Amino acid sequence: MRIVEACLSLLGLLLLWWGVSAISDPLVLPPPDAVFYALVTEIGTGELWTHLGATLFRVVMAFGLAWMVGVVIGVSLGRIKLLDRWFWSWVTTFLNLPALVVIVVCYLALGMTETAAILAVTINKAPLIAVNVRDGVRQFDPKYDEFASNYGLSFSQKVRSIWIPQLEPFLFTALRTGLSLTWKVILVVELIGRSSGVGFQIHLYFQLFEVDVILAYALSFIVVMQLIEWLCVRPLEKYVQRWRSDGQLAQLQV
Amino acid sequence: MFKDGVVTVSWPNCKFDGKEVLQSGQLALHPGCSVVSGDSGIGKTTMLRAIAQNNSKIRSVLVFQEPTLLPWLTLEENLALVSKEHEVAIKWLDSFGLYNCLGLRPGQMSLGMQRRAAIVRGLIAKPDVLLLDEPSASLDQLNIDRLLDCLVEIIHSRSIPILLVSHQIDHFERLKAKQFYLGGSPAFIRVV
Repeated sequence: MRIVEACLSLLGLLLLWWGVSAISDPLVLPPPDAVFYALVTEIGTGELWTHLGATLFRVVMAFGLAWMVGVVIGVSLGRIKLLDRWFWSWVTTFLNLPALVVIVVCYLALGMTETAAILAVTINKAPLIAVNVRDGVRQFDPKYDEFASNYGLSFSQKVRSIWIPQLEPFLFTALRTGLSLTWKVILVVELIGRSSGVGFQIHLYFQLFEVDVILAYALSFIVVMQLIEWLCVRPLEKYVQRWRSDGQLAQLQV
Repeated sequence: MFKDGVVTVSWPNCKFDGKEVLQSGQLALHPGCSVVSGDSGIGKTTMLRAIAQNNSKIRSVLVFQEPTLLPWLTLEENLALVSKEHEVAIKWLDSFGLYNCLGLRPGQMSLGMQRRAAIVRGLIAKPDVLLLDEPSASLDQLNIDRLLDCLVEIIHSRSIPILLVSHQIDHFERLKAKQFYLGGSPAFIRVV
């Protein structure tokens, strides 16, 4: 039922787009069929897959690194008050540093390289992950820490069995917001200093004033991100958080 | 400290917001059950926590009033976290009428079942002394009777001291336990 509702909602958006494009300049806002035709053409030439693949690779690499760095920083700040007092301001500073500044500085420091591109996005997105994880760690239930201490659980047992399950909602929030923001920043990175990727293609077709192709590339990546959400993130979230729906049965048992 | 099967536990003065709430003390616990009673909020749980933290030479396991079974793990996984001796865990689960709950998560069990499961988890951690905080709180009579059966089973099977605190001491008359009373301000312990 939810899928039907989501499809109907998207259909409504499509109709709205059609309606607005009908009364606009088609060069500025082409109708959906023109964008679809551009998409099919790009798929036919193989260009779409090449550039989509390049962008996806950068998203995975940059977000993976940002995730690892952000989780380590977030857990450290959340658990160790001294570190939090000293370094929380660093995190908020980097959180508010414009992505463009980080990208330009990385390109200047390391040259127009793949490493600089990925590093820039990592530096820009790690603070967001860190903030989410730190908030999650600060909401840990102290009774589980007391249990772990009372039973002498090892550090790895605590991380695996107590910390990660409590962090799950925050990790999923960080995953969602982080992924959606990462790919947008990646486009800027590609637009400024790469010769492949969706951002590069958008820049190219901007110069040619072909808005239909620009929208085709943007739409294709939105579809990829939606597929990741529906085929990977949601099923995983549903699986790891299945225990949250427990409870009603308990009332019936003695 | 151990001597002839007797475990002596002690605790320091405890303060809350700068005010002393519990006087230091010690108890010699014999194998079997000892019950500490006292009014709600007098410091019984504080005393148990202090005992658990203060006696490093003794392996004391505190079973909390709120069963702290991890809700995201099944009962089997919860038990495996504190002991790898699966057979021992199965034996105790069987004695406590929980064998069929191995694959259930705590949220799928009743409070009475969770309490008994938490006691099993405490037992398989092989403690020198088992500390139980208000084990009968919020349970109906049927579940209290089951809990008492379980405690009797522990007393018969394992010669370890069990120290439990409760403000409803009448629940534990059947155990013929040694009785202590915690009272006063700051609270101090005395034999009843």
